[in-house]
Amino acid sequence: MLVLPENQRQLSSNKKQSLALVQLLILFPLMLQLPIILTAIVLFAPIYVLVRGRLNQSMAVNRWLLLIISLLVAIFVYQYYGTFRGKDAGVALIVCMYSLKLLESWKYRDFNLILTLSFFIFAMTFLFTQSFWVLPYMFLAFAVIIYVLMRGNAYASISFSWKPALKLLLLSAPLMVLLFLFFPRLPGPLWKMPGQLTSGSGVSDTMSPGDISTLNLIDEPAFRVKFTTDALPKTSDLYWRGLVLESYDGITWRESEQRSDITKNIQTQGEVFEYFVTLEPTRQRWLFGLDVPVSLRQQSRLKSDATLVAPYRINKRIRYRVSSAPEAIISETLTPVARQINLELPEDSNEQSKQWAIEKFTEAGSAESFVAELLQHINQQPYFYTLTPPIMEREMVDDFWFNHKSGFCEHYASSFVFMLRAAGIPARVVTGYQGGEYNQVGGYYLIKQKDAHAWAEYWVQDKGWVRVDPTSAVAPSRVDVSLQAEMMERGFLFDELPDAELLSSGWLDYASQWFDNANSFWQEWVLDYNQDNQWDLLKWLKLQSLPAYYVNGIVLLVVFAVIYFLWRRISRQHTHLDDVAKAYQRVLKRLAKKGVKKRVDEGAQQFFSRVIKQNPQWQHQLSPILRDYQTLRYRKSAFSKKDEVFQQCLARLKRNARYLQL
Amino acid sequence: MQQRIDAIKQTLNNIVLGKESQVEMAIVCLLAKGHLLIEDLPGMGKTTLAHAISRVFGLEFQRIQFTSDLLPADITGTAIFDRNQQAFSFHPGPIFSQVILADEINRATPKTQSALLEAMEEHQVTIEGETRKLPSPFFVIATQNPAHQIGTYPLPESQLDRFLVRLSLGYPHPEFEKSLLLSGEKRAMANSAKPQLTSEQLIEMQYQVEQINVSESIVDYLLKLVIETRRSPDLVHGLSPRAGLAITQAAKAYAWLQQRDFVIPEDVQHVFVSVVGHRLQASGQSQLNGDDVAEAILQNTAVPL
Repeated sequence: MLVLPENQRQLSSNKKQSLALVQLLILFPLMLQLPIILTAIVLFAPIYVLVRGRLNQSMAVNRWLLLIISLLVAIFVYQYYGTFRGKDAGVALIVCMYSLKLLESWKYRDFNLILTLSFFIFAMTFLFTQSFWVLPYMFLAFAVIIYVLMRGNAYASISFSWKPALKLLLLSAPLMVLLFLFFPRLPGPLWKMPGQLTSGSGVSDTMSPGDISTLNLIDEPAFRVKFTTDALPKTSDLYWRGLVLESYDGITWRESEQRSDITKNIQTQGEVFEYFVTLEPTRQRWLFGLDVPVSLRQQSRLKSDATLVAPYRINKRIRYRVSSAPEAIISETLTPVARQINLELPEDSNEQSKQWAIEKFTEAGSAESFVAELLQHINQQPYFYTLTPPIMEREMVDDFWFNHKSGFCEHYASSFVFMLRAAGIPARVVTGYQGGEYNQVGGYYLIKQKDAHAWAEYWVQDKGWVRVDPTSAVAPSRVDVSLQAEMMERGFLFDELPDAELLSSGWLDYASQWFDNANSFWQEWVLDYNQDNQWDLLKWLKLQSLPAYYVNGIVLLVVFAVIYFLWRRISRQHTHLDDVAKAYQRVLKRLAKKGVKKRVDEGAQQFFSRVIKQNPQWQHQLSPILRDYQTLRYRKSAFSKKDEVFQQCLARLKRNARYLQL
Repeated sequence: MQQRIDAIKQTLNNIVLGKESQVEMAIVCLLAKGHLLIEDLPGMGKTTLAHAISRVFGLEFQRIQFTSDLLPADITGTAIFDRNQQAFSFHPGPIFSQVILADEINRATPKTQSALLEAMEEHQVTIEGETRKLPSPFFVIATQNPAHQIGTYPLPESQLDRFLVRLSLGYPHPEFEKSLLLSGEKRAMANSAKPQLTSEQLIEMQYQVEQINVSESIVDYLLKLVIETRRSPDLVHGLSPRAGLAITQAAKAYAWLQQRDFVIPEDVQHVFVSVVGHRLQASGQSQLNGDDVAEAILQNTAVPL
């Protein structure tokens, strides 16, 4: 077929407008990530083309002007970011150039180029967001690109259906899934984006309440918990134990180094809950479990302070199984080492608090009444809950307890434990998460980073370590106004929130729960699908237990099946051949082996006379074949299949073709 | 029958030297009851060939020289008032003849050109409300100069479609040109050529051509070719169903010439470019003409097994 060379075919105004629409569609998710000024630059080219096209005006831009615009944009991007390197600057530059490319697209090849580029440009969206909604949008965008590509290359583009494009996309989906599941994966990423570390709420292995002036609440999932038992724990029991901090140097709380010398003594009693935790990567070794974790599957370890620790750092999402008993008793008896650790206070600091604590303790008489006294004190006195406390570097407890009287959970927990220790009661700080949102769709609790919390534990003879949450004693009226709504909603500070509240959620809640459920599935099964999961899948398919030659055999079979299938598809294009054609084809094959090939446009007569001219010795064999073939093919159009002459002729042709000796 | 045709071929080749294939196609056109268009520069022997054909086939012959002031009535004839009979009597024009040589057809205005239309397609003319049959066989041989010459009105597509075959003679081979120059003008020879056939015999031949068998396989091949012209981006439009019929007709005639009673793909290939070339209009910027595209399509379309 004669087709005009691509470089001679011009791009029509309509096609350019459809390109502009594709660009807008592709760039939209990226624009959300770009600064607003760059968005304006990126929008310029497609909108210019669309407007000029709508007005039936020429879209031509002077080449030199275009060059100057491109250079200016590049300089601007460099100015804005100070570099071309890195994710943001690189993407900004590419996106700007991609949109400007439209202005210099005149040739037909530019059309295909821009559309092909669009696939790659869209992939850049995944550098910014990997959330679930991108997936349907990607399908939409890809369908549009394929549609425009097919339409632009079709012979008659006036009425071109959507269906072939959608069909192509859908047909490619199983292949994509197959490659996704089985294409060999590297253990780590090939390259990493230089990321920025942000500080915010969450749990770290130390706690220095005094030197934080602003705490950001991060609205990202920390972990999800799915109970395998039917009963759910009480809302007031939703304390997710992370770390126990026992060593205090006056500023910072840490884990005690002597802790490992203490033997574990946890007595399970009361109701036991079993559940799976799906933990987001923390890059730390500790794990979280409902207070009090009593047993744990897998290689992870339950420590003597009833915290969980993994054998390695959690660099990727993991899933583990724990059982917890809220009424379990930790350390019914306290070893001397443990007692010593949990009474230790730095010398010569916070003297005022120490004095105050001893006075109050002697008034109260027992540990329990002293704790009640302290909670009462927090509740009655003007203590405030705020995320923007003043900095209290030295004498933090004194400063907090007597002067500022405002802070967040760390201040309360820290001071509370200090008071108890000063009064001679073993006490320690526990950090972790508190509360959680129940997802009715997925049937799990979602615990977010902003649910991070710190509380206190003190030791009583026969009861072991008892949890007390001093932050919850703050009077609701004294919670920072900006936080109040949030706090009321989550209710984790105040145990008054009834369980029934969970059930009466509106459709908006329901939608957001459904969304989190879908997102969690997406996270778990798509984004976190790594080499290990792949190996697990192969293991599950029992491929490893098979001998190697079995596997090779299966692979070979699959390959052959695919080849056979393709071959069938290709050969079916010749439609099913009848007997005459088969016999003729057999002759052609025989001749091709001898080095004479029929051109596609050659008829039998022309071909055979050429062959006989080249090889006169074959005339006797070939002439009858040609004669019979022409008779059967061309002589009578309405040859009855039962006609005797026809059958004889066909039989002869078949015989001659089969026993052709050259 | 075929021997007579061979004799005719021989005679014609003696008159128009070195143009065997064109002569053969002209005969095919006549046998297929089609009209012939010969397109070339002035002085290439168009008229001579046309003249010789009509003589050799023993047909009644009229020549119309087309000019820009030729009127339709000059072709079809008019009714003139006869004083003696006190009535209009019809004076038939040159079109009432078995062979019309329409010389330099594209020099006439479109109005006059279209007067030929009805005659060519329906073998009848309508003058002043009265339809008159044309003699049989009826055969128009038109010659034309290439369209880019000054003072030409290109034939409308509708009229081009009515010519079965378009031939282009081209410059003669130097060898033949030499013998032409040595022996002098051939026009006289054409005029003195003896008729080799009666018109009854020609009609009989045309009937035999009709009877040639076209099998389903050939029709499939032909359809493939036609559809390919409709899909080609190099053409403004594809072939009409009439063009498909025309190819079949010509292929049959060619098969008959080869003394076969059935059409084979080679017959179709042989006549394809001549029959189709003038019906195709190459699009836009490509430097191709209809013949080139037709040739390319032929080369790229597989013959069904």
